[in-house]
Amino acid sequence: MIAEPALVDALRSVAEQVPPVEIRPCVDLAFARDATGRSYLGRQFVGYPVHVGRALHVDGSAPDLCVVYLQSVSGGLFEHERLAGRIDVGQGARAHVATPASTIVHAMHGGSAVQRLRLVAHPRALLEYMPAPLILFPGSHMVSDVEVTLADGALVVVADSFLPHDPTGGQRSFARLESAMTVRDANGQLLARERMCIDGGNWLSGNAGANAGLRMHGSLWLLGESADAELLQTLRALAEVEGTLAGASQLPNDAGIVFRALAVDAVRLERIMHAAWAAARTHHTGSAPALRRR
Amino acid sequence: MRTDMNAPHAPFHIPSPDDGGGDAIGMLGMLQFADSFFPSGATSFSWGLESLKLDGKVGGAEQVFELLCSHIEQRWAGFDRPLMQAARTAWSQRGAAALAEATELDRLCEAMNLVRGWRDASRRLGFTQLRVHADLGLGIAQVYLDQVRAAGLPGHLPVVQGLVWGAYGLSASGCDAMAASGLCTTVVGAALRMGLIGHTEGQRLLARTRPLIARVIDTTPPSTDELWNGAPALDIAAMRHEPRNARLFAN
Repeated sequence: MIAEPALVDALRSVAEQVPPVEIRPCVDLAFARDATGRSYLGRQFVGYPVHVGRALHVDGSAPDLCVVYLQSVSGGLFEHERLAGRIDVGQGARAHVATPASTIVHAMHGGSAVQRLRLVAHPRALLEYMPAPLILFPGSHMVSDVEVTLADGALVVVADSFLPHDPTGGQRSFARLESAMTVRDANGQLLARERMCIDGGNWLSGNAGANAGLRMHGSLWLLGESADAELLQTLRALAEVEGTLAGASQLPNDAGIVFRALAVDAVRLERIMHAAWAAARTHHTGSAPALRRR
Repeated sequence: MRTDMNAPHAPFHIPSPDDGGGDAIGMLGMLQFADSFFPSGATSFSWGLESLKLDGKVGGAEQVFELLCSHIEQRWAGFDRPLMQAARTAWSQRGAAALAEATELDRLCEAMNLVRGWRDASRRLGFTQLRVHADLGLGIAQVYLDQVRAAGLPGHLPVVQGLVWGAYGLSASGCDAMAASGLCTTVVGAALRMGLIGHTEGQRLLARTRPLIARVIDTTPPSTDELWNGAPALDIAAMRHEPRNARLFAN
């Protein structure tokens, strides 16, 4: 028997509980391309709780690609935290920004954590923003808002995954997840937008329409004109991974492709998300990524 | 409100509550437009059910019910419903001047319909509604249909529902009930044709969705800045259905 519908009530109470709080910028990175064609980190500003690692060129299949890892020095996201960031990739530059491990969204008591990120890709730039999944602890309420500005010929790849987890081994659920993705062209014209709102209790019930009993979720956004019908076919032809349900579709207004997967556990989600990312990189550059696995 | 655009053409005339008859006229209009006999084209769609069945995720009445609840609570409540109500409100308050607003809502609906299977279905059903109501003599339906044909407007179903049903003077809660019950009837009809349930079970499921629909209708729709959905399995079902060659339903 399905659980009593709770989201309508949850929406009502959440709106009353979240106070307006100023959002603090904690990451501002700008990548550029030098005369030799190698990409570099041209500007960086970071503040608590983010630490930025040194710029690396460690992808054997794309030696010009600038790789940067963002780490949290606080051990995750906490109630009432309000964080904002911006990543710019200049004309023709190529950057890969990731986190070295999953981010825990800690237990909360009626409040929320908010993270806003603006990604700007200039003409012919490549930006891969690939954070490891969020781990949603019981009672947590995460609000994530990513906005992408896409110039002509640019490709932006964004991974967005979450895993619910009760560290006591019980069946307590996160309270709520709100995850928005907005894609605009260089003139600010809206191309595609999603605002996914998930009630933790409903998610844990394994409802056939919500997650079909597969509670790990990932989206891979492949944004830009090179995310075309050929790539869509490649993604659809990826080998099925047992214990997952995945699909891909073309976004409206030629914004690109969204690949979406549900999985029974984190290992299988990682496997299928990695396969989709590798397919996208191969389609775009001609060779699969050669970065070490996390 | 009457304008040249929504004045019905002779000889067909669908009275509005303003013509007298009040609630009964409105009720009869709702019954007519929400009836499965109305040529809406909805029977071509299963809204993810066929795909989830083929993937072994739905196999009986209880899971069909879960799917219905997901559609109503996790998708229609936060997405289709607010778009429909925004279009209806725009028409009720500004009449023909609401066309520009409806166009914006239509474009927003296009941008937020991320999965092609949903997008195409919403466009097709919106187009059919416009064509039928234009043929019935509803001026605004003809005007909007012309824009869809000539200017490449998407013509998405919730926006068209709000505009057209608003032009007939149907109440906000009546429009909610028509849209939600139409969606549920379509999914249950698909489940019947796939042999997942029998006729009596179908009626039982429709009755079971009523409290949920009523609870959703009882809330204020979110603003168009806060549209949302929360049913990834439905999205993936639609994505996986797009390339399938052997299928009964369009989505």
